[in-house]
Amino acid sequence: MHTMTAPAVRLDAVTKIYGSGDNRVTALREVGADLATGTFTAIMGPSGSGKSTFLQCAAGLDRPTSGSVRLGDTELSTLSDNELTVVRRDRIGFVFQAYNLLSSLSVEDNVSLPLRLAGRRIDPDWIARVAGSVGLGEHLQRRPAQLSGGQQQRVAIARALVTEPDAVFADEPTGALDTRTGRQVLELLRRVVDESGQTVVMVTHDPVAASFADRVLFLADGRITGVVDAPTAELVAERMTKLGAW
Amino acid sequence: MRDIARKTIKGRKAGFAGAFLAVLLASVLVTALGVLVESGVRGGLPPQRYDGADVVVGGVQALPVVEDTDLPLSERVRLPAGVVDAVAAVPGVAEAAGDVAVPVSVVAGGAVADTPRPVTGHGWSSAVLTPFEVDGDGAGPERDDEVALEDDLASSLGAGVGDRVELAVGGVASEYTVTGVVTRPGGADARESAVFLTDERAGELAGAEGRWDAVGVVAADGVATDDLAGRIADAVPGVRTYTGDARGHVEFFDIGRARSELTFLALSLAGTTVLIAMFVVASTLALSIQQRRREFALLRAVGAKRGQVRRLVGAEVMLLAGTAAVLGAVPGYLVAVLLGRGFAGSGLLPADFRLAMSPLPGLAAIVLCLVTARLAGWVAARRPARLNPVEALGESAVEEPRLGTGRVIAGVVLILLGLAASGIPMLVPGTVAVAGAAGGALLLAIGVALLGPRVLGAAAGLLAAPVRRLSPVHGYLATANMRANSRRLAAAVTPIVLAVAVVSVQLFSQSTLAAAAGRQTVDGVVAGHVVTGSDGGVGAAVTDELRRELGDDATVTPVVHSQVVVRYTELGDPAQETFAAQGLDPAGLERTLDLEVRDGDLGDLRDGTVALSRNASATFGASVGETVEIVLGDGTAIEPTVVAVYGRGLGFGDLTLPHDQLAAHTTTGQDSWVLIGGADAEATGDTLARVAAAYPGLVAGTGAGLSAAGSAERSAESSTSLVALLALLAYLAVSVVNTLVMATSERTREFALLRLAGAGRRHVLAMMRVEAAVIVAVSVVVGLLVALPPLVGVSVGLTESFLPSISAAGFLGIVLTTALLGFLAIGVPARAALRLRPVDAIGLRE
Ligand SMILES: Nc1ncnc2c1ncn2[C@@H]1O[C@H](COP(=O)(O)OP(=O)(O)O)[C@@H](O)[C@H]1O
Ligand SMILES: [Mg+2]
Repeated sequence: MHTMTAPAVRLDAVTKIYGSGDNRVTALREVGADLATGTFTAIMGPSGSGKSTFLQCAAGLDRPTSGSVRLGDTELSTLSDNELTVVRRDRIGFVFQAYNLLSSLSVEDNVSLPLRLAGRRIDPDWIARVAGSVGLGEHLQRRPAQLSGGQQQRVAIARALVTEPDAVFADEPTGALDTRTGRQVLELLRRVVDESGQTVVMVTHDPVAASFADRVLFLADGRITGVVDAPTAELVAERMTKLGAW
Repeated sequence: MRDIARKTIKGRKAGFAGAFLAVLLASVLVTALGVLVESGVRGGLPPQRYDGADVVVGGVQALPVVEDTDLPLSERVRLPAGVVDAVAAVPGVAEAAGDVAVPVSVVAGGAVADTPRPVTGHGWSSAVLTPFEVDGDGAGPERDDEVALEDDLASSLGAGVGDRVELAVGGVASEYTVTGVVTRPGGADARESAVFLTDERAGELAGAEGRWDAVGVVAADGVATDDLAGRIADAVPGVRTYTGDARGHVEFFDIGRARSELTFLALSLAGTTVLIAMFVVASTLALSIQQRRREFALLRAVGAKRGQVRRLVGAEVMLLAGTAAVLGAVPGYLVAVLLGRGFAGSGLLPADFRLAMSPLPGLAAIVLCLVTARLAGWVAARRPARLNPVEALGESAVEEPRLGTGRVIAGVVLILLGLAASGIPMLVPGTVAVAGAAGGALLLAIGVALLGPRVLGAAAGLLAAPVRRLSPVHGYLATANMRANSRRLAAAVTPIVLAVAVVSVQLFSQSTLAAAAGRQTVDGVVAGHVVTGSDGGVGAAVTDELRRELGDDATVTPVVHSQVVVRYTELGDPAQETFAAQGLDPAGLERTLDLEVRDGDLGDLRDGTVALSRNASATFGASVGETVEIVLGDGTAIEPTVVAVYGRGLGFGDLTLPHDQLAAHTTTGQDSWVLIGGADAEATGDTLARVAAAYPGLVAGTGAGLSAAGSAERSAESSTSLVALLALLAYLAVSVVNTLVMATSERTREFALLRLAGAGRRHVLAMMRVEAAVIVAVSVVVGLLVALPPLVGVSVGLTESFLPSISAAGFLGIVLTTALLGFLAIGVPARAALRLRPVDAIGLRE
């Protein structure tokens, strides 16, 4: 289903070590991966396998201990904190499992937050369009507390899309949602890839969620242990039991 | 950023309420103290008796101090007789009249009669300054035994023209014939009733020897008062001129004293308050920012640079502090009025004292709060700015256990400095050393606060075992919690420690001082009998008669008190300070007064010499044989040689001068007490009773009674400083409650988790009670430990003993108040948090 274009994100021999001495944990071991532009990739693996670490390194939230991470043709691992912040702000979108929104800001303000931080002019029409594309056109003035969990995640997706980033990263975006709303969020992510050619990378432990992706990377103990292209829920579930790690 | 800041504040009012309250109250308190400081400079009463004078000329009632407020002189600085003519000669002066005032008692039937108002005697020529009018066919006094009475006094005595009245000064009474009844406009509101004698008689009774308390000036028609005042000041050397309400400063001498005491008190309190307010505001802001870690992490994740987070926090803080400071300034004026009433109640201020109300203190408070908040915000913002954005991804916010190196170093340095300051009195005696020791408390408290999480972690560790034994389940949860969240707990405990330490030092250094002074008076008064007076004191005639009556068997020692200014070198800089002085005649002193002489001989005390207390001797760096520069109460400078150093300075005053010399430089020249010792007690008692009966208003008592009177005076003094402390205490109490409430309400989710895991409401509350008990215990103990070194230092400095005197009531008060505040401030929000259904609460973000 996906086409082979230049990778939006490329990880090369990325190793991430937390702590030191006795508390030393190697979360990623020499991981390499190409995440192609305009594709939807799911990262799966047992708890503690390094999924979140992978995502954080790929998204410029954290710096690998060694190895290289490229976003388009920008090498992230050598950027200063401020440069990395600017990359995150302008070229990357995030959706976390929970706690995605500033509770005191309205939907509109939350969505436009990255633009505001960039000091860019805020075009209300554009914000309305982005919010409309996630189905929240009528709720622009609401506060997060007045929205359901699924709606909040959709606001987060709108915020991730507002800068038209090179890639959107999501860490278990449906982890806190029920099956039905989770499904709506996944469909939304799928649509973003299909209709706008966005690149989406999503961590999940749910085979059904993974089946929305174009490709699934399996992580275990900090290593990539497998790849499934054009996954279905059954295929992924079968692969999971075969890997047997969880 | 400002935009986001505004919206954040609007959206999370509850989260900011604590910090808002802290700034608001700081502003209230600083405004109130500011009003008091300003009132010390400009407050008082508008003139009453001088209301008809356009300009009032007075003596130079203060010593100028370089780069500081002038040091007021304690006795009336009188003007030479010739000043009236010199002033009258200035062009534009229509009339100039000299005035002296002397407090008098009206005698009826051999005893002092009750009068509706205090009565003051004046010379008749000063009647034009009000102006007083003579009723009907009366006239002013023309002979030394004539008097004119103000109408209210005349009617309360039932005296009219031609009647005879008896008036006493210092117990010595004389009869006068009433020549007239005088009235003044607005007389009903006057502080005192006036009686007019001839100028000569009034001067004689006042001990003025032809000099004037003040000269009032009525300007010629069409002459501007300010110009006239300037011309008079230019033409007549050595005087000050007053116009408008400031004329009241000259008229009401007691208010001048009260003003300078008010300034002193308010300023000394203001320093501590500003520091504490800054600290409370800073730690509350830090707590409220720490509670929003995840919010800042999210901002960092979606692209806020460190500088932007800093600016956001800064903008939030300024918005919040600006609003709070402005809102707090207004009630600050009310609190000032309440404090003023409190001071009036404790006797520091006259009841009719008017506070000076200008926008200045409010503005100063706002500026101060903003500067404080800016600094505090800057410090508080460093942490969220450094936050790792990854934290936003995590499920729970685990706090960072390590303290910054800078903070640890600052804390240790402050504690060391505090200990060093506390120890100064052990190395050098003197006033500075004692003040240094008291100041050490603040350094120690802030140092401990900086190391708070460590201290608390250690304390919780110490308490863990016993607490678990007492209460296995809840104790386990509580201590585990305290260790894991030591930073949050430190924020809660810090204000309590600060409060306990500051209150203990203030309260117990006061009680140490009072106990020591009391002990010294009891031990020092050897005399079996004492005569005290009402109104102005005891006149010299009484001493003479006692000496005649008692003969050589007894020693009669009149004691006169005053305040003198001493100039000395302090830490290499010239300093001048006011000290209590007494005037004594050393002959036969061993039978009346034991000052506990350490060095030299009090018997050598005569003109040109002085005896010093140990403390004074150390403060001035003057021992026996050396000289001291002294400015007496009326501004006369002397340079006597030290002949003795004595131990009981707290009980009797730091300087002892020859009696007649000191008496000559006080306003009234009268004695406060006359001590009688040596002779057969019973016979003396009878003689005394007879003599006292002949002098209306005099009271004969025992030496022990005198000590009791002294302790009553000291307790009035300490109640004054308690009133002052009260404001600070209330502030500390509110900030304690404030932080505890903030810290507890934050835990709604945690409580929900515990309950979902099977703990009942009861369990959670029991756990919180254990936690509250540990918090209260730790903070009281740490607070008292912090207070101990300064208290020992103060005690050594004041009393040469290592043991401060700690009153049981004060101690219990501190412990109980802390416990009550702690349990309420933790229990109430905990109950509120438990009211939510756990399933709902667990879903709450943050
Ligand atoms: N900040 C951290 N400090 C120390 N160890 C960490 C940290 N974050 C993750 N780890 C460890 O790294 C490993 C991988 O974690 P993570 O990437 O969160 O796994 P996953 O998301 O697959 O559950 C785990 O063993 C985890 O304990
Ligand atoms: Mg994870």
